[in-house]
Amino acid sequence: MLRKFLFLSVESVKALSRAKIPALISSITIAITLFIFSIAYYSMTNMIGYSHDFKRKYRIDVFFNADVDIHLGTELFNTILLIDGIEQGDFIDKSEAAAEFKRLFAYDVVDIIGENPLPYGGKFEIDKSYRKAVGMEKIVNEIRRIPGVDLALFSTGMIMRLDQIISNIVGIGILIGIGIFVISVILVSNTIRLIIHAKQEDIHTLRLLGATDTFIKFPFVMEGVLQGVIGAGLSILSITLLKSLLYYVLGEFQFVILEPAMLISGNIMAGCLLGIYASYRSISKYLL
Amino acid sequence: MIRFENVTARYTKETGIFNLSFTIQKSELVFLMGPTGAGKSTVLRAIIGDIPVNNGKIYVDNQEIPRFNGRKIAYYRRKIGTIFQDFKLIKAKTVFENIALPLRICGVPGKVIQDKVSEVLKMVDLTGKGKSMPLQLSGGEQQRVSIARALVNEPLVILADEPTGNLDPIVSDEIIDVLERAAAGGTTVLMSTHNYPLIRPRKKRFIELNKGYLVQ
Repeated sequence: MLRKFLFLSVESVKALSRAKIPALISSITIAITLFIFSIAYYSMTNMIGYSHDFKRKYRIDVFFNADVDIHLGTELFNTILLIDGIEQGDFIDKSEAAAEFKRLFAYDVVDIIGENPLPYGGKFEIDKSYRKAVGMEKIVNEIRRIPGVDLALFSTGMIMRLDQIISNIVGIGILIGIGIFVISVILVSNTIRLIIHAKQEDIHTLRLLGATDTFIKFPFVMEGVLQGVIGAGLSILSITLLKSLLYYVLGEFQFVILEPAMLISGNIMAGCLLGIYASYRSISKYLL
Repeated sequence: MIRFENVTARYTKETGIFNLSFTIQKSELVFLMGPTGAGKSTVLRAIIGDIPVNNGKIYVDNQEIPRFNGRKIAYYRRKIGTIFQDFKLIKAKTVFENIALPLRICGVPGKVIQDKVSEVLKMVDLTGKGKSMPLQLSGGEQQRVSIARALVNEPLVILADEPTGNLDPIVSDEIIDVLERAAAGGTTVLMSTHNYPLIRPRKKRFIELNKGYLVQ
């Protein structure tokens, strides 16, 4: 078994070196696919990272009824803290509310009205899993049902828009990824198919000599794997160069950079899988 | 060694072989005679399992040949050496690699392959040609490589489909000499040809076909 494996592996390398141009075209196709996938993954990772940073600032502002005193206010505040999805909160008393008013409108409310009419309230930060418009809406509705709560607000429009943008980008990214994958599989399959077509007579001879299907198929699958590995190598090289260029152009700008080990292993694994799938597809279709 | 029992293998209603029955003994060299289209190649292809048999049974070494593609037919074919008119050598491989192929398929160790290939190269008078590519050889030499490939696995049966079809009379005679030696060594040989003058002096049994039917 091992002898056959070694023999067929050597045969695959020889076959690949004999069909240099088609093999190179396949490898470049795989390289382009992996390069685009890596960039897409890299961009997605950065985008999701930044969106998490941004979402960390999501909060719900709650205003209690004007007749709620400090004791009831504190009680209400603690009740809200117990609601699912609330991570933590800050109690806002009347003086803090006045300070916030002054910060926002540049006027002192006591100076204008002569007393502080602002209610007690609170600012609540949201748990990571609830940082979406739907999740926040749910929490706000729950808060609004608590007697003594006058208003519970969050920036609905902005959050919904951000959610929409993220889901659009992810959706489009997935569609483009599937498209590129399909094109790549077709191109690599066609290359292997051409090689199989050129070897039809040799394959028939091998069959008549008693070769099993596995013996005949193996070198083609191995060729697919080798093309995948070469493609992955080209992709890793291109990404490394691009990364250096980005550092050079953007300087200290903070990026979530892919770990080299993950970049290499991911590309090689994806390249091999792509090569195996594409070659097996053409073998199954055109060999038997 | 080879037994046909009422075998029919047809391509169309009128082409193929029809209701053939014959037996070939072990170590026998038998010629399969007939004009073009008589069904000679069909008989050989039926024995190797390259075409389906519609009716009847074919036995090789007292075992019915497997009818379906897959591992069984592959293992069965390893017991048979096949020689073709157009040699069917793999052009990208050297003479040595071509001859070694049946052994590689069986997973024979490298050292044994080296010894066996050298032995058959000597048998077919091609010593020193192991590293040549098939296209660097004459037609007669290529056919001898094909014979060496058929012999190397010490098959029970050798099927030769018009092996002298593209060769001149002297080389053709040499090829039949090699096949006779193989038969003398215990291998059953069935060789198809339409060249009666070539086989007449050999005084061997022949099976004659015409339009797919047995004549004699």
